[in-house]
Formats: sequence, structure tokens, C-alpha cells
Amino acid sequence: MLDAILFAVLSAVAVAGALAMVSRRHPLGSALALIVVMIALAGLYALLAAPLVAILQILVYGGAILALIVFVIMLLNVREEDLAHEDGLRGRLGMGLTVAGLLFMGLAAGIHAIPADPFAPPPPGFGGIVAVGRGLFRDYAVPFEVVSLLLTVAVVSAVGMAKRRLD
Amino acid sequence: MSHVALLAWILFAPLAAAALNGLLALRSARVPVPVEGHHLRPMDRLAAGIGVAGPLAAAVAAWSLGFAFLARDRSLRLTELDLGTWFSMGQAHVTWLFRVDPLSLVMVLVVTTVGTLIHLYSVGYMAGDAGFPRFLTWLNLFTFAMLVLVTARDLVVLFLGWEGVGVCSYLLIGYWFSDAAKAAAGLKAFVVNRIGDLGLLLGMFLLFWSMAPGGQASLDIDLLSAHVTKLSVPLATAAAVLLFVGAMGKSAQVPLHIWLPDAMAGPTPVSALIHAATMVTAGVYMVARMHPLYHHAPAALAFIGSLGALTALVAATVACTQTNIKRVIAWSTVSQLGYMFMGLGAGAFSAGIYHLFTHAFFKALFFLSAGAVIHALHGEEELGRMGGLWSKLRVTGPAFVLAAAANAGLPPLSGFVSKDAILVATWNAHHPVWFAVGLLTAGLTAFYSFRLVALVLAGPPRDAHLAEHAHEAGWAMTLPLVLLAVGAVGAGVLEWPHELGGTLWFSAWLEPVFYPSLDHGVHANAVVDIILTVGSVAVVATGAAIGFSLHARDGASTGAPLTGLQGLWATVKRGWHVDEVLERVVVRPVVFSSRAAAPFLDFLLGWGARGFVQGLALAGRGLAVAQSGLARHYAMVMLGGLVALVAWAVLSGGR
Amino acid sequence: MALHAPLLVAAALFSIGVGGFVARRNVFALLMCIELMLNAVNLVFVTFSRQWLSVEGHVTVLLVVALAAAEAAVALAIVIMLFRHRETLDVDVFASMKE
Repeated sequence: MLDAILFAVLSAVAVAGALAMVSRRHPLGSALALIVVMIALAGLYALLAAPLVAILQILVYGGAILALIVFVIMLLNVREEDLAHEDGLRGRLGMGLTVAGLLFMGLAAGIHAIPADPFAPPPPGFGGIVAVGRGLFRDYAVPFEVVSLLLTVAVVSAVGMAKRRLD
Repeated sequence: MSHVALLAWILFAPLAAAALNGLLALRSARVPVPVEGHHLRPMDRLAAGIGVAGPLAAAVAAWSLGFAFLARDRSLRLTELDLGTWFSMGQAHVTWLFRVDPLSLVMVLVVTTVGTLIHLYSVGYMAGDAGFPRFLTWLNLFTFAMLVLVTARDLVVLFLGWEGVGVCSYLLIGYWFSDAAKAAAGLKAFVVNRIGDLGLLLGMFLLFWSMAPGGQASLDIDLLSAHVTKLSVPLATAAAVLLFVGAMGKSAQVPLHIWLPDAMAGPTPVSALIHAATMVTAGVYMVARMHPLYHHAPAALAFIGSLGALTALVAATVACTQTNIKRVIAWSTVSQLGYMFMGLGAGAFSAGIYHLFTHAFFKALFFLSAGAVIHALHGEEELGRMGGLWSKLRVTGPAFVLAAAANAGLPPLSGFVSKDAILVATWNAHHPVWFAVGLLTAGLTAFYSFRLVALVLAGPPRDAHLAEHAHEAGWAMTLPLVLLAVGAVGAGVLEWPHELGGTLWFSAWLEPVFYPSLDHGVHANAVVDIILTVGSVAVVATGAAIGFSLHARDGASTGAPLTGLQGLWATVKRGWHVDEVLERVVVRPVVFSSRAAAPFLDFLLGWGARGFVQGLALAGRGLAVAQSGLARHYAMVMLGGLVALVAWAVLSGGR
Repeated sequence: MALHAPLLVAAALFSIGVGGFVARRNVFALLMCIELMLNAVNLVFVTFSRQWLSVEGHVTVLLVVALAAAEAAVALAIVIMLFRHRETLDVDVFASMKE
């Protein structure tokens, strides 16, 4: 019962945060709204028996990625006149969200067609460091290494690009 | 080596040489040519080595195969190389099946042996030419295509070789393509041959179509031969005549002969190899190869023989009047091809093929020695500036005389034996008209052959300066002359008549291929044969004597020997105006009707094409609006697609 | 609690991300919309991991998070470069794909 209430609250927070994120004009506001979404999602992960993923969500998304975005926004010192001329933002947002609503209805109809029983209770240790670590470093070691290679390449190229002076 | 491996060598050694020389040709275009002529660049030496080695390897393999066959029982003289399926569509199954039987082997031996000698000769003849490796590439490629033609077991593969030699012929006639007249000659050969090839194609289609109801829808030559008797005679006759139209184009029979004299624009080795010894005999080979069909269609055979006789006579008369050394020999080739078809028409297939065999040697020798004369005179081809060269050309001169004598059919040279075999065959097949025409042609042949000898070698020089500087060519050119002269003299032994104490080895060799019972020449009356032979020798000797004595005098002209003949002489010299007549009857109406139809077609097609293009342009401009270049818009389109996909998945219930 | 509820939340987040992506012109907003969509997908993975009690979904999520980090790094570098170049964050200014 508690789970259900928590789930409903966190879901509401996530969706509200997402709506706030897309409608804020200044990127800083959007970024802060997105942090709220991330934290709410972490809570949902925890409710779904994924404690490790929940913690990493906060650490990596909330702590690293979004911090990076906020940092760049502030670094660029974006002023009001630098922002996009989003005169018809409200109208276009309305249109975009209408299409999104259509998409959501389609997806919901699809989801509804999936037969579902209540979740079975998870075995002890499910979603913990040991279980996920075993999966990540033993069964999926090769994809893991490939992703780490990709990350390295991305970091090197990001540094290379950001350093270059455009004339 | 196994027989199949030998066959593979025969086919692919020239192909490999062509490929390697092709690479060299690409390279050599960028290397400058030495200004002082007749020198080989290092890459030219390499090209020469490759270009001669390819056909030489094939020739060695061919002779090995020939001797291996001799050691076998005659029913076992057969080798096949199967390289799998080319294509398979519906009832049509075409396989890369190459087969050598005694008939194919004769052709292979001619192509590779004469071919090798001519390749060697051209190394000397073409030295110093800027496109030397290119020349050898085409020549090698021609050898390969010709070998495909004579070894193919499927008519479709044969047609591939047929077109292959046609392309090489076109490329080599127009080898000096910067000269517009030579390029035009190449084009003429190509176009006239296309007309013949249309006939060949239609004949193939007709055969395929008419065999289909019996479940034998195949163009495999052996299958066709086995089942051809099931065809109705009119159908077989139609197919046979259509196939022969192809042979008329390739083997220069009236009225499709007009390309061959013009083909002399190509380098002389090309004239010798392609337009005398091998390619032009492809039609003869094809008809002989399809002999069961022709046996089944006597009317077609009669047509072939009559057209051959007509061609032989017409071309021989024209040859008497020409003033260009190569054109005389070219017309002579047309005439001799007519002879071969006359033999085939009389049902004497082995006699026709035998004449093809000896002709390859003596006509190649004729051309090559003529080429040596031209070479000695720095490219001069007009008889009016020759004469008196006998003392200058100690090797070429005798070779030229031998070739002329063999061409004329003087005993005991090979030309005498083969020509006589055809004449006797026509008599024994009860075609007295053909025999008479053949006899007259033999006289004319002797006349123009010795007219040529007299004008080139005898008497005082007509151009003292040119004769003064005449010089014999190097060994690369004289060696092939000597070897071909041996062939031109000695090939007669293979079919030396019974009556003169010989053995018909050549007929016996081809017996497994052609039904011996239908070979009229074999069962002839000996007394009649001797009378016929003596008669023809007398005619030939008379013609030769007149031809020589009329033109060996001091101040003999290249024009009409008698003043009263000048009008006729001019007509004959223009090839009986066949070119002009064809121009009036065929070319001009076609051009006129094309011109007349052009505006209409322009309107119809142009309107359609332009409408199509404009429609495309309009659609393009319409679609270009969508290309805003904004990632956001693209994302929107993707979103639309996504929504549509989800909707489809939901509405279809996820199936 | 069953499968449907978290999947519906994920669908909602994803749809909002898509709608925002097509509506916004600010580079940062677009970037964050992409992150939102990635997170919605992650939620689906975690949900199905819970459903089948299999740890593979968790592993995938971790890999996706790493990819998102790489993507963010490169994207931000590009944004910095573009901003220096044109002094704007409006993506519609960058219409060079048209040429």
C-alpha cells in the first residue's frame, strides 16, 4: 500500500518535472526541473527493486551529467538576448504536446494490450551490487568494454573540439 | 597433362596475355615514343614477349592435343571443359561448355598456329608504333574470342565469341583511329556485320522456338544436331538460311561483302589474321558445325552454294582490276570464301573445311609478304609505284610468289589440292553450273595472282627512288614468312588425291564429324576426277601465264590490259558498283525515312521524355520545400512516422 | 503493483520528451529532451527487469547511462563551439544541413 502511494507521488513529480522542463524558457530552469525528474525516477527505480541503478541514477545523472549541463550554461553566461527567438513557443509547445499526447495514447493502448499479473516478490539480493556486477563484468563484459572505449573516444573528442579556436 | 587441362591452356593462355597486355597498354599511353621509328621501348619488349607467348602456349597445347587424339580411337577424339552454368531461365539453360572434336581442333590449330606466326610478325611490323601494347592486347583478345567461337558447344556461347571477334575486328581496323577514313572503315565493318548478326540471332531464336514443343528447347549444338530431323523441312530451311545470313556478314558473301575490302585500312597483320586466315572463315565453320541442320535443308544448301559461286566469280573479277596491293588480296579472300561456301553447298563439308585450312596458310602468307613489301617501301600500297623488287627482297619475293601460286592453285601447292577437291565435289554433286563458275574463277584467280606478282616484283621499278631504298625486314617478320611458306606448300600432302598416289588423311580425320556417306568427293569416278583435274590445271596455268606476261613487260600499266575494255574495267574496279547500289537501295531509303520520321518521333518521344523530366523537376522542387535544413523539422517528420508506426501496431493488434 | 503503471509513466515521459524536442529551439532544451527520452527508456528496462526478475535490464540501463554521458560530453562541446561561432543558442540559425 505504501509502495503504491509512493509510486503515485513519485510518478506525478516526474511527469510534472518533465512538463516544467520543456516549458521553461531559460535553460537553467529546464536543467533544474530535469534534476527533479531524475531524482523522482531514482525513487521509482528503488521501488522497482533496482537499488544499484537508483543510486547510480542520482550519482551519474544528477551528479555528473546535469551538473555538467548546468556548468556549461553558466560558463557560456547566457543572457536574455542570446536565447532563441521563441515567439510562438506557447503555440508550438501546444502543438508538440498534442502530437505527444497522440503518441502517448497509442503507446498506452499498446501497453494496455500486454497481459500483466502483479509482480512476484524479488529474490534476496536482486538488483544489488553483487547481482548487477556479476551481470555487467561477466556475462556482458564485452559490451561493457566497448562502451568504456566509446566513452574514452567521446571525452577525447569533446576536449579536442572545445579547445579549438574557431576563426 | 590431361586433355581437359590442355583445352584450358588453349583457351586461357591468350586471355591471360590479353589481360596483361591490357594493363601494359594503360601504362604505355603515358610513356613517350622514341622519334626514330622502329624501336621498341622496354615495355614494348615486355608486351611483345607476353603477346607472342600467349598464342604460342595455346599452339603448343593444341598440337599436343592433336597428337594425343591421333593416338586414340577415332570415336574417342573428344574433350570437354565444363565451367558451369552461364544462365538458366525458363527452358533456356546455357552452360560454359567448351568442346574440342576433330573439326574444332582443325580450327584451333589454324587459329593458334597461324595466329602465333602473325603475332610474331606484327612485333616487327608494328615496332615503333605508339600504341604497340594496345595493338597486341586486341590481337590477343581476338585470339581468345576466336577460340571461344570454335570450341563453344552452345550456340549462345558461340555467339559470344562471334561478337567478340567482331569487336576486336572493329577495334583493329580502326586501330589508327585518328585517321577518319580508317575509323569509318571499322565502323562500316561493324555495321555490316550487325546486319548479318541479326540474321544469326533470328536463326537461333527460330531454332530454339521450333525445338521447344519437342522438349528439346536448347541451343546446345549436339542436342540440336541429334534432334534436328524432327523439324519440318520448311522450318529447318528458314532457320538454316537465317543462320547463313550471319555467315554472309562474317564471311563477306555478296551482298554483305562490302566491308572486307575497306577493312584493309587496318594494319597488315590484322588483315592477315582476322580478315583472311581466321575470323572471316567463322561463317564457314559455323555452317559446317551445323551440318546436320543443313543436310536436313537441301534448299538452304543450294542457296549457300549458289551464293558462294556468285561471290567467288564477282570477287575474282574485281580482284583483277584493283591497283592497291592489299585490296587485290582482300578481294581474293572474298572470292576464296565463296569457294568454301560452294564446297559446303555441294555437301562436301570436309572439302570446304580443307580449303579453309590451306587458305589460312597461303592467304596469311600472301598478306604477310605483301605487308613485308609495304614495309620495305615505307608504307606504299599502290601497285603503280612498285615493280622490280625481286632482286631487293630475297626472302619476301619467293614467299610472295609461293603465296600467289598457292592462291592460284598451281600444283603441287596446297591451294591446288583444296581447290581441286571443291571443283571435283561440285561436279560429282551434279552442279555443272557451279563447276563451270568455279573453273572460270580459278582462271581469273591465277590471272590476278600473277598480275600481282608481275606488278610487284618483275620488270623495271616504276618508282626508282622507292625501289632504291627498299630493304628486307628483320627476322621477326621473315621467320613467319618462311614457316608459313612451308605450311602453304606442305599442307597439300594431307589430302593428296588418290589418283596421284596420295591418301585422304584430312577427310579421314574429319570423318567422325561429318557423315562419310554424304561426302561426295570420296566416292568419285577416278577417270572423271583426273580429267577434271587436268582441265582445271590447264585453265589455271593459262590464266597465270596471261596474267604474268601481260604485266611483266616494260611500262605495263595497272589499268585495263586492252584498250577496248576500259569502260568495263572501271565498272568492275568499283566492285561492280555494289556499294553504290546498296547506297541507293538500302542506305538512302533508310536515311530518308529516318529523316521523315524524325520530327514525328521527336515530337512523340521528346514530348514524353521532356514531360517526364519536367514532372521529376517539379516533384523535386516540391520535395525540396521539405528540406529546411532544420534538425527540428526532421525530428518532427520522424515523430510523425513514429506515431504512424505505433498507430499501425495498435490498430493491427500487435500482429 | 503491476507492469502497466511504470510503463505508462515511461510512455508519458517519452512523449513529453518528443513533444519538447519538436517544439523547442533552444539547444540546451533539445539536449535535455533527449536525456528525458533516454530516461524514459531506462524506466522501461528496469520495469521489465522487475517483471522477469532478470538482471539484464539493469545492466543495459548502466550501459545506456554511460552512453548518455558520452553523448552529453560531445553535445556540450559542440554547443560551446557553436555558441562561440554564432553567439546564439537558436538551433534554427544552424540550417547548414540544407546546403
